[in-house]
Amino acid sequence: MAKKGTLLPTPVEPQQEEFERQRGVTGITVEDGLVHVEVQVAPDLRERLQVFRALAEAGVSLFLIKFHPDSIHFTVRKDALKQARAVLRRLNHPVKVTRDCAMVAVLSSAMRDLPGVMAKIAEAIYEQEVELLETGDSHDAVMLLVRRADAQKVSEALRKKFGLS
Amino acid sequence: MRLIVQKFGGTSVATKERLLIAAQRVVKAKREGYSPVVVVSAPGRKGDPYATDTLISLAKEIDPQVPVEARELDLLMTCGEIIGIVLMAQAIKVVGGYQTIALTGGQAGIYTDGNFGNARIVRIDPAAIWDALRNDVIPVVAGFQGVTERGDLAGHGHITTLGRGGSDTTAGALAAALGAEACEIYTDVEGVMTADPRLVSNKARVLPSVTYEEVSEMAHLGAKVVHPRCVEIAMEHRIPVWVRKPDSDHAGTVIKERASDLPQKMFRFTGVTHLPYVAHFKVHVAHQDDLPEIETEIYRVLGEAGIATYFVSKSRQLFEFAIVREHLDRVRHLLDGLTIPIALNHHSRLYLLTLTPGSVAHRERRRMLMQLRPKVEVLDAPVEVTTNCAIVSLVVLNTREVPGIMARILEALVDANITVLQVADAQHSVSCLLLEEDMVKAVNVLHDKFELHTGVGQQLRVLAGAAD
Repeated sequence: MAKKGTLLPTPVEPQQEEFERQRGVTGITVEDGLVHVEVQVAPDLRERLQVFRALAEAGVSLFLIKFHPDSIHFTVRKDALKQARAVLRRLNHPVKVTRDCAMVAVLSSAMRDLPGVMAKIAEAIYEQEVELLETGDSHDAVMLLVRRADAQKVSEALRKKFGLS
Repeated sequence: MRLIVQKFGGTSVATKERLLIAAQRVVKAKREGYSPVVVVSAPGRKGDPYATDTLISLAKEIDPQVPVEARELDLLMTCGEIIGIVLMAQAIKVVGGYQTIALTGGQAGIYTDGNFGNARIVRIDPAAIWDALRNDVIPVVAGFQGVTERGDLAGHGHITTLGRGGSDTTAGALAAALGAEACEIYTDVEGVMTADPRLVSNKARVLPSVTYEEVSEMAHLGAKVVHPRCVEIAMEHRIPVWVRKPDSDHAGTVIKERASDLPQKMFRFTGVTHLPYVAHFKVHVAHQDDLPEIETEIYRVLGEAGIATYFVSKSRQLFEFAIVREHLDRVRHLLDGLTIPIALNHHSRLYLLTLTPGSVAHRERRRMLMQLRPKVEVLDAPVEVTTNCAIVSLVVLNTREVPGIMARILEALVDANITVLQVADAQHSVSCLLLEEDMVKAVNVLHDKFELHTGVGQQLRVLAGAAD
């Protein structure tokens, strides 16, 4: 138990510490080597489940998964494409594949506390006249899937939009 | 010296009995050789006499039509914590015979920006706390509050509040500022649980250990154990956070190393969270090429109104998003009748968003806009709204690396005849948007499917093919 006069550790210099991150967008990252896959399949969940089950059995990891009225979309790493295609061919669903994609992620510590961020992102994409293949959002990031050739342009536009160096 | 920060929530200090139990925790730590720094919330919960919402209503009820200034609201809201610290300081003195000092956020050196109601901590000067500790006095600090400093646009010395989860944030920030060995969050559950025990009854388990990322994900997706701002600060400063119940012998949950610190690429299923009261919007657009402009305009309108979106998605002629239902009336008001012009090469299009096709208001708007023809093509953009939705999420350490998660989630939900409206995946979670009536069932079937009730799901597993 510390008594009066007990030697205490040197206090942390308070002025130098940042205790809470600045609110707002903190970074933009780019990940390439991705492939966007659209599988035409009816909205019936059981039919969709068959697709996911077959891909799971083949050990294919999926992300940016979205349900659309007549299709499901997802993204795979390019080294998983061959495996994914083989599975989907067997299931006989029409498939559209867009190779050479990149995911541009806009990072923030609490995205949902920053409602204006989505508008700025949409503006930046629109101004660059880039086709956005897929969008995903979470509490700490907005993910934008674009063609790899557009990724640099999008990333720079977003950096400019959010005042990042 | 072994320094710890102990934070007690509103229910822990709501009655004399609970207050004494909480004080015993502080005394126990002191007797074990720790130097505790105590952080206290306002006594009670929603509806209780000194709870934040009760204090706010005192001012608002004078005339609900006249808004109360944000600065004044902050002054009022901080009263609850000030009552809390005086009571806790007294209780510790009575239980343990130790000297205590109650400190407001400002007295404890917590400086914030001037964003009243949701201020951010910019600096901590813990001189008063160190002074107390040097003199063997236990500092009891008011959570949820700070003070502006010289140079802030709002002026010097204004009392501010830190927004939701503010007392947790105070505890995390003080632990960081003091270089504490740990931060203990005392709450009304025994730790971070695999699901809300009110939904899955006796099947929910206390997680002995989770990473900062997992608990942050859980908190953002609806779990109400510890606020993500506290976790974020603890993660930055690598301070372990314990979540415990004051009157329980259960060891609780320790929140510690980052996922990236784990020795190999590992994954595990952490828990199932739920977020009720969500509304889902679908905007139908006649021409696919016009979707980006419509999407941008809707985001702009919602952004200006301070409304965040979830589950954003678009396909050829459809743009979807979800919102928290408390904003439903405002979003309806903002979108119904919104006109969005699209400039084309030789003419222009005007989209008229409508949530109420066939209504008199819509017919009238349309009739007026039709007068712009033939120069302007007028098109309806019907908006479908599903008002009674919920989000149920499976939190997984390293989701993206694990194949088959979506298949297993859908298997469980399909077998339970639950309709999934949309899905979203992130680094540490997969979320499903579904009807609110299915929410409890969905939480239960996912909890079972991923063996969270047996503890098997939480075992760390190495990813197939992962190298050291």
